[in-house]
Amino acid sequence: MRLELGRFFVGDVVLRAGGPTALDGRTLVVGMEQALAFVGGEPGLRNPRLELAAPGESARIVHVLDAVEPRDKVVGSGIVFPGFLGTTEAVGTGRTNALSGVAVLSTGVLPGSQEAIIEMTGPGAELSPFSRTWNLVLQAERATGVSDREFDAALRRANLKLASFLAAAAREREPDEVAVCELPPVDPALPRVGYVYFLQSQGDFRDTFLYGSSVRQLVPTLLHPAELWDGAVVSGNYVIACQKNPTYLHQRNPVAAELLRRHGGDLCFAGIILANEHNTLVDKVTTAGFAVKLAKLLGIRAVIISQEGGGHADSDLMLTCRACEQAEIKTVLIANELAGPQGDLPSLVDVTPEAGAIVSTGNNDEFLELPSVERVLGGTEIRGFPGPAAQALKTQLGILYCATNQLGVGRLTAALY
Amino acid sequence: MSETLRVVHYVNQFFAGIGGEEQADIPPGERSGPVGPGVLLQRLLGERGTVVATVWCGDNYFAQNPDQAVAEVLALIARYHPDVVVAGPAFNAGRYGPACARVVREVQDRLQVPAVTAMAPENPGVELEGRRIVVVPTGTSAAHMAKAVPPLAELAVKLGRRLPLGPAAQEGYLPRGFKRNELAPETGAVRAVDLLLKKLQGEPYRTELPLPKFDRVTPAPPVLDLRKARVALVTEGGIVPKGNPDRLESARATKWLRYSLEGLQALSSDTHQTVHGGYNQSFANVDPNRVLPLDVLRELVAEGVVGELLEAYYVTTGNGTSLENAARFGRDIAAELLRQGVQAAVLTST
Repeated sequence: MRLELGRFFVGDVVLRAGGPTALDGRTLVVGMEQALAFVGGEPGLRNPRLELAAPGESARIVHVLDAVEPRDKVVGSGIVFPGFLGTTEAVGTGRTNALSGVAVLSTGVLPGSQEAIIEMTGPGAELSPFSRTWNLVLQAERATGVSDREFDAALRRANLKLASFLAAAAREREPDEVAVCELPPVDPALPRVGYVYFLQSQGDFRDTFLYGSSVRQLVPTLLHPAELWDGAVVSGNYVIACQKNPTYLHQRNPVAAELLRRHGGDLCFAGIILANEHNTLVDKVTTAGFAVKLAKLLGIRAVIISQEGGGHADSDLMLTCRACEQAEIKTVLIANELAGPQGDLPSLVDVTPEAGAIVSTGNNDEFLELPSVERVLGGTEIRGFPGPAAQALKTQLGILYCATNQLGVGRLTAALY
Repeated sequence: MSETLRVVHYVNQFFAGIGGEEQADIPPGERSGPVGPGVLLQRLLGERGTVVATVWCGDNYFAQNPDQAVAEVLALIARYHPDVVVAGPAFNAGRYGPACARVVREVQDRLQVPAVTAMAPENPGVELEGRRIVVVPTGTSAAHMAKAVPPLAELAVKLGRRLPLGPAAQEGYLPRGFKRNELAPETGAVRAVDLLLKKLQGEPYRTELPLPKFDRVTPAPPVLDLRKARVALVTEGGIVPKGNPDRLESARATKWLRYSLEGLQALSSDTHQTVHGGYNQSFANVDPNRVLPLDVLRELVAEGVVGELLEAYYVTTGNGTSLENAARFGRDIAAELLRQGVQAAVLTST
């Protein structure tokens, strides 16, 4: 399997009411009417609209649901976001284009969705990958008679369609850079390393999708990183904002990217073991066993294990860690912490003695002071904070989208004092 | 601030040069200037600090009467108006270590003077004062003196100058159990792969997240005869009377509540609701008995399986609850249940 990702570095986005969508040098011009027409035809949505937030702008985006990087398959089998935008033919080969520096964000309020904000400037901006992207913010109302579930599905499809529509503007152009995703055979002396990649699918609005289907019943399976690049994994999970793994970060999974980078250098990246964080202990135990078995079948000697969420998810992490270590597969876990506002409370809700190597992506409970902003997109209030959405506020990291992301996209960590 | 700091050094009878075990009963004493390891300390401090005095106490004297001993030691220290106090290094000494720890903590609390000590990580003195003091880790014996004193001197200067302390790994002290967010030079993903390769290659490595220790709760002995027992219903599932009259929080609860069950055979969507923000509320709102099984308990009492049900239940919301609050709620509710002659509780969790 070999996928070429043609990266187009977008330095500037202009949102116009009418006209075509085109990539002009490093400027992406978006014709809103045409873009929304492409996206339209989602009967669950009423009055879809787009706004633009620029990196460094004094702006705040509220009610963030999912984030997607615009990608478009140019050559090869299948399509990006298989299962959502069409066929579920296997992806991860040929050539796909990506607009780097752009994200499409869906926003809204759904049952159980927790408030999620992105700061485009200020101390909050340092903690989000989306303060550096041009963000096209999609907002829509629910059409009459449509259930929450249908509205969620419609918004997701619209967001993914928009993302692929925008990337299609690059079709005739030459990319700035071509990244290759393949795992050719390498020196057999290099250690075989795997990535146990936990997804969170625990019900409506706490769901993740593989080739368009919920992974609710997933028994651990294998994935090639190129499939991630083509949008094989899509997020529909709206729990605690700071520890979100949005579609954008499934596409650009940083652990897979780093393992790929070092493939043939100091390790052999043997593949991704995809698993779900099930609700029941029985299923968690089954999952741990299957993860180990797949690792053994692939001759894997060491794994990185990542998660989405916390609480229950800590148990998945620990059970799998223990099962791996007992099978002599070395582990490193990536987790954020709930150490309380003073940083002195237990960071995790579950432990196992074998978990002696953990990377911390920061303490969710620490407070941060955010300045007031000039503009708010995606809504008119910050849920949980009375008063205007543009206000200055002091908040725990919990509501900052991806601030303590457990795929290790950021540099935030919690130092020991 | 670069004025020369006034440093007082606390040691035991041995490092004060007075004698060995046979002098372990001597009471606190003092002399001006450095003695023993204090001489090395002075050399390392250079112009930054002067060891103006050395205060000592016999190991046994301290161990046998720590409250009195520390008061006497503090009185001697106070005479020298130090900017910072250094105690030890105590290595693995089982009486000297706790004495150093106690002296350091009391100097901080009672004299409001910064202080630092050094001892082996397994020395009981470390656990004695825990996160309240700064401890430089050392080897297990005085053979490690040359390595122990330099970080001690550096920390003494920093603390004496009232400068903020950096992370434990950077400054060379034992982590006290506080976390503070900061930006690492590399992303979490890169650090994870680096850490994994170190493990694979058998190189020394350090976790960024030492595992929390949870205390184990010994279960109470089983109820001898349930047919004679008074049982209570308790939940962290956030089930409250409809309208949430006492405004129980959906997350990070600050309280627990007690509500009457008199006259109720079962809960219903007319009378009760959930406020818990950590699970999908629709099922509990349709039938609150799913989270607080009043209907089943009533049946079990009617059938004679359970003696009687307390005519009140206890509730909080277990969603992002702080550990301290949860422990406090547990103690309070347990006391109430005991007061009302309850032998067993059904505690539902979500």
